[in-house]
Amino acid sequence: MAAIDDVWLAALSKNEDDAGSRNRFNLTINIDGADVYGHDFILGWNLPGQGSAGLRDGQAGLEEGAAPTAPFDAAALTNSSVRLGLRGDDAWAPKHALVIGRAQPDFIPGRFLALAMETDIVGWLSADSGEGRLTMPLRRVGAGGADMVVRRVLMLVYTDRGDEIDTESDIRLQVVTSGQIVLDRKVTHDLNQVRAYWEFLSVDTPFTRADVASKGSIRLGILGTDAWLPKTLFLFGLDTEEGRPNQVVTLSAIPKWELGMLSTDPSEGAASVVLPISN
Amino acid sequence: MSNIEILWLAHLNRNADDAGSDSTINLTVNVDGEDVLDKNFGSNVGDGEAYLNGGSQLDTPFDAAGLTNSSVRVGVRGHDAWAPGDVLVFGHSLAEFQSGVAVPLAMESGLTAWLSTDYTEGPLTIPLRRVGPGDSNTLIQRLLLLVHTQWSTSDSGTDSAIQLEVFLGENLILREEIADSSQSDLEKASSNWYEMDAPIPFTRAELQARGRIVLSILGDDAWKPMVLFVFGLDAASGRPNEVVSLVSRPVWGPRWMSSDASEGDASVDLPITPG
Repeated sequence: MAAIDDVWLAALSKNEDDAGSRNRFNLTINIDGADVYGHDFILGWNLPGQGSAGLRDGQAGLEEGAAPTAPFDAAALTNSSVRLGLRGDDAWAPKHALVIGRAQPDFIPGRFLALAMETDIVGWLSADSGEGRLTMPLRRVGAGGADMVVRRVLMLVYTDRGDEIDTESDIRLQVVTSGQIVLDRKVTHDLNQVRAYWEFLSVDTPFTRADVASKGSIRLGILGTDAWLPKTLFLFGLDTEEGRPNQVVTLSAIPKWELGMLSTDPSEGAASVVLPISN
Repeated sequence: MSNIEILWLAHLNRNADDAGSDSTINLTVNVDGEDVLDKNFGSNVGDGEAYLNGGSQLDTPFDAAGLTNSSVRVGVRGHDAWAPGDVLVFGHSLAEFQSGVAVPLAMESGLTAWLSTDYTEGPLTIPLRRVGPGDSNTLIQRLLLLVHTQWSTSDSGTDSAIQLEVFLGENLILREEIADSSQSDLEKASSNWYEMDAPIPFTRAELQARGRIVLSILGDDAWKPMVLFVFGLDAASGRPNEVVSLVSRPVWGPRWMSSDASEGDASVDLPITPG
């Protein structure tokens, strides 16, 4: 049993005309007829002068919601428990959506786990019945264990607002087990302020979290001198090479980054850092 | 369990200022992660008023046995906030439609939320928990009469009172006169939701063996119902756990009701749900 006391929503809008929305994104979680969670997410922010909040076309959002009024049992969730809706008629075309929960600390520190997920979503959401559905289900995904074979990695990252914390430099994620590089991917787009990014990364060789924890590492690096300070980073391992996963294992969860600036300029930060492995 | 091929939504708005809404109502039914129904209803009824609609064949029939307490949700597609007090979702297979069986699926009563797309006003959707269909031996403590009055070119609504009576043998165990509720009673093209206590609880089996449900009109202002359902509730108050189909008339038929014999029937024995 995992008692969830904190809920995050991540989503990516389709990259097509008008796919984004300025409306709030409504998440409900129901267990046996009782709504144990309900929150209206903003997901997308802008700097002053950049327009109103909301997700733009092709933009990702990552947001921590209000705490549940009481912790709820992740094991009690079913495929009918979680729904995502839209609070207005500015239609939204989500491409992927993921609900993340934090389990209350018990014998081990609080850990994050994927609760529900949909990928390659078909259709639009809108309060306008002529434009799409009002709400849609997000099916449960299993919390994979340390021995789950990871065939793909999802990286979610958010950069907050601040001076000189965004970057135009590329970043690089590398996973090593037993001296073998099983994933080595470069992310080449800008990591701007108040922006989240959703990246699926293919693996060179399937691996398990146990492999990484026992004799490996996950390293995040930057490939330039334009220093970057992320605020939040989640790494999940998926059990499928493509499409919707059935099991999702948390590889690393850093809701509040405390690993310092990243830069190849040593006077500004570290060129790479080893990420903590989730338990 | 029933294969639901036809679905109905009934609700009674709270009798409070602005409880009614002209926003479209959205009903979803989810079975194991798949939305087997996502349907809009143009309810648009006022404060304290009732709504009953449905009856058309579903594109995707579903098995009522697959529903859980998390399966059914009702929401609103606009910011004209809506305050339902009671909501019932029921359905039937095509065979049950013909044979007078209605299958209750989900129900809430005594709701307190205001629904709106405006996040400052209330939730976007709320859950409707599963109710059991009961059986012929479920003890009935209360009745729910749902009726929709015909729309027609002549005046199918009535200002006359109607009356529902339940007999076991020769014993009258329930009589309820419906005359002047907080709703617009029995108006043309309108729906009504009437609950009535059963001072002597009974079962459908008893009704089938030696009972009757009689609907009467107490005046000569002729009335033409279009759809009529009677359900038995297993709770004397509040939300029931079991809702028993007693009468299912999704098509009332051609007969009018009136105490004037030249206009229609003064009373009719309603056919009791079989099984």
